[in-house]
This record gives sequence, structure tokens and C-alpha cells, in this order.
Amino acid sequence: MIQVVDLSFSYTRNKFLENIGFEVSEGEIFGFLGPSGAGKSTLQKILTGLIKTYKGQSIVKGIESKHFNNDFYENIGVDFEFPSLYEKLTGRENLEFFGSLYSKKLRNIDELLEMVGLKNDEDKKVSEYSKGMKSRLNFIKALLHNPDILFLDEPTSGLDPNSSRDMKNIILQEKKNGKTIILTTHNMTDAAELCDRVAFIVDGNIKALDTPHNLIMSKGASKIKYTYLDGTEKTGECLLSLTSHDKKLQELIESNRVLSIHSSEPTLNDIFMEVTGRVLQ
Amino acid sequence: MTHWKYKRLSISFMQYINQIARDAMLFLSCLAPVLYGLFIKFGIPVAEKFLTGYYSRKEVLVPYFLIFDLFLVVLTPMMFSFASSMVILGEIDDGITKYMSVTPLGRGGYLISRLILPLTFSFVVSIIVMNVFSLTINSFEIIIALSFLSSVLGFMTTMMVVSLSANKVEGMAITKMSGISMIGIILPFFVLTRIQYLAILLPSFWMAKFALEGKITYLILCVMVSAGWILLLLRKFMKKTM
Repeated sequence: MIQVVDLSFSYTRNKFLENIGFEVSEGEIFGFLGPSGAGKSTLQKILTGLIKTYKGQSIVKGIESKHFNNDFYENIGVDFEFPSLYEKLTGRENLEFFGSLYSKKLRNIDELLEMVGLKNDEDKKVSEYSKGMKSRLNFIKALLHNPDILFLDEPTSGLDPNSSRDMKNIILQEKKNGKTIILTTHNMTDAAELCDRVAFIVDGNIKALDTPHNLIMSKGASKIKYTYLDGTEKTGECLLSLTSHDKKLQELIESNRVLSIHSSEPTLNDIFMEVTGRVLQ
Repeated sequence: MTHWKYKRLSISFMQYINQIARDAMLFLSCLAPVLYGLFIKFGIPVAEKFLTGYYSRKEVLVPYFLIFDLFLVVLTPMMFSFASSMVILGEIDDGITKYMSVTPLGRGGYLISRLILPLTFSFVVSIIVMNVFSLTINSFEIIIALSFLSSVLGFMTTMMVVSLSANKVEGMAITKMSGISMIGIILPFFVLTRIQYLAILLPSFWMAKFALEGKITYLILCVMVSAGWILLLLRKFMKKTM
């Protein structure tokens, strides 16, 4: 669905995006992870045809991004990080206006509003909406014309936990419906939960690219932490794969002196720090 | 698909009209040329009659009637330019301008519906206003030429406001400042020496020279100077909305 080969771009004379390469298959959720200013949004701008002065290849649905014509946008939906809505129009009026720009059959506006819990607020002006409500309206605006590819930039940003959960469920449902989704985020939990594969972007380069599970397993190892009484409460730790070599643990188990025992895996955030040397959240 | 291209343009242009209609200040500013036209058509001759009687002179304002006409011809595009600028700045604030680039309307379609269509509309309105209210210009060809030049000036002013301001408040300030560029209209009437050519970078100066002397060269110079400014400002605007 998307092929990027040896892509480079810079706003100034200094290098910014360099030798970027990846492929995204149809029906996949692909995540760009990285701190602010890493180049995620710039990459999204290139993929959506907003930036055309790049070097290398950026092919979306068989067409080079710099050569998209307007009709191409019938096939893609974009949810920018910050809402792009007419503040003086109501939620429904916004959807009706933006929907009228497409020649495709639109999805049912009532169902979309219902899906994100805005049905009761459809006749309120957007200026009266909360930040979260605007984000949800902006999100369904991108779904309105039922695009094949969705570009989502921080889709759960500013949402309360319930709305964030609902939003993630909708994204997963859209994937089930066959959509290819490009997710840009700095939220590792969202990325680990939603993405089939993720790319770590730092300083305009892809530092790692794989499934969240493979990244975690290749760079980290599961551990066991245990506590026991030895006069005072003490703590021990060993790798899960080396449990049989931990004589202290064996001794404690045999004498029933273990107070607690937990296994722990590194998170995607830990792996990001290890690979890039940078902190995300 | 061509049918859809025009449909999208008309939908976007109607949205522009709706925004003006919903905003009392923008709506009234588009009526300003008619109010000014009524003033010069009926008020100025009365004032002239009073002044000639008062000063016992044959004519007082008559030599400057063309200046009133030139301000009339630029007022329509200027007011539409103001309305366009405010709509575009509002849409930049709301993130709409950037979003339109990823819809089938596209950035080009958006700019046509916000700059070219209002310009064309103001060109037509300007011709009508001049035909109805002009004090001195009777030639239809000259009215068309001046309406065209003033529309180009209006386009340039819109580009100046939307490129150089970050929000509506700054936009209003720059709109007021852009009024200074209209000083070129009166220079050829009052500065008769070569010093007047200090204003060669003001398109309004060449428009006034064309209205005074009727030379096509001045018309071409007005278009060329305006085009230079427009290209410069358009580049800045494109960078701003990317």
C-alpha cells in the first residue's frame, strides 16, 4: 500500500529526514514513534502530498506522493493533531460541509456521531465543544468518506481515559474493516496496543522498525523479582531464562520463605530509551 | 470528474459567502462601495454647488472628480479583499486552510475559491458600481480596464494581509496599513515633478497615471508591479500554510 525508499527532506540547508525506508501493507496499522521535532509529522506531510520537494520515493497506492492529483484525496483520510473545524458551525454542519467535497458515497453521519458519543451535541457550535469533543469530531471527519488509508496524528491526545479507550476500539474496528492506518504518536501504550509494526524516529532517522513484541523481545529480557524475609525484608532478581541457576531463589522456594514473586517485561518505552537514548514521555 | 471539480469550487465559494453573511462587519464592508457611490454621485455635486457659490469660483472640486472616481473603483475590490483576508485568517486559525490541501478540493481549489472567485466577483461589482456612480468616466472600456486593475490591487492587498499577519487582529492592522499603498492614486494629481516617480513600486500610482493619461504602458506597468508583489507574497503564504 505504501513504499518509501531512500527518502530525504530538509526545510533548511541542514539535513533533517535522511534515508528513510519502509513499507506498509494493506490493512496494517503502522506507527511512527518519536519525540517532538523528530520528523514524524514531516514524514506524514510527505506521505499525504503536502510536501512535494523531497528526494527519494514515497509511493502511496501506486502513486508518487508529489504527483497526487486532487481526486486521489477521495481515498485518504487525515486526522491532524490539532482540530481543523469551522468553530462557528455546528458539529453536524461541519461534517456536512466537508462531506460535500467528496464525490464518493459518504458514511452515515448519525452513525458516526453516535459512535464517538457526539449525537446529543450535533447541533452545538464547535466553539462550544470541549477539546476532547473537537478531537472526536475531527476524527470522524477523516472517516466520513470511507477512505482506504487513514493518517492519524496523536488521535488520543487530550481525551479522557474512557474516550481514549473508545477511540482505540474504533481504530481497531477500522483495521478489521480493511483500512490501512498510519499512526503518529509519542504515546507508547497506544502504539504497543494498536500497531502491527512501529518505527522509532529520532533526529530524522528510523532507529528501529519491527513489531512491538519483537522489539521488546529482541532488546530486553523478562525478569523475576522476589522478596523474602532474612531478618529484614530483602529483594532478589534474576532473568526468567536463568531461574534454575538462582540458588537463593531455589533455597527460598524449598523453605517456603518467598514473600512475593513477580515477573516483569521491559515496556516499549524502555526499548525506545535503550535504542535511541531519548525519553518520550 | 470535471463536473465535481466545479461543484467543489462552488461549494467552497458558497462557504466563503456564508461566512461573510454571518459576520455583520464583513457584510457591511461589502456594502461600503454602494454607500460611497451614493455619496459621490449625489453628495459631491451638492458640495460643489455650495463651494462654488461660497468662493465665487467657476469650479472647486471638479478638477478632482477623477480622484473620487479612482477611490470608487478601488473601494469594491478593497472591501472584498478585506472580507477575503478575514475569512482566510479565520480559516488559518481554525486549521481549515491546511486541511483543504488533503481534500479533493486541494490547495489550488481552496485558493481559487478564496482569492480568484471573490476577485472576479468584485471585478463585476466594480464595473456595475462605476457605471452607476462614476462622476467623470463614461467610456465602458476605461471602466473595465480600471475595474480590472483595481481587482488586481485588491488581490495584492489580500495577499499582503494573509501573508504578513498571524491572526485576525494583526490582519485588521495590516489592512489599515495597506491603505497607505493607495497614496499612489493622488500623487500624479498633486506632485507634478519627477519626484512622483518615487512611487513606482506602488501599483496604485500606475493606475492613476493610466486614468489620467490613458496610456496602455501604464496599465501594463500596473499589472507587472502588482504581479511582482503578488508572487513574492504568495510564496510566503504557501510556506505559512504548509
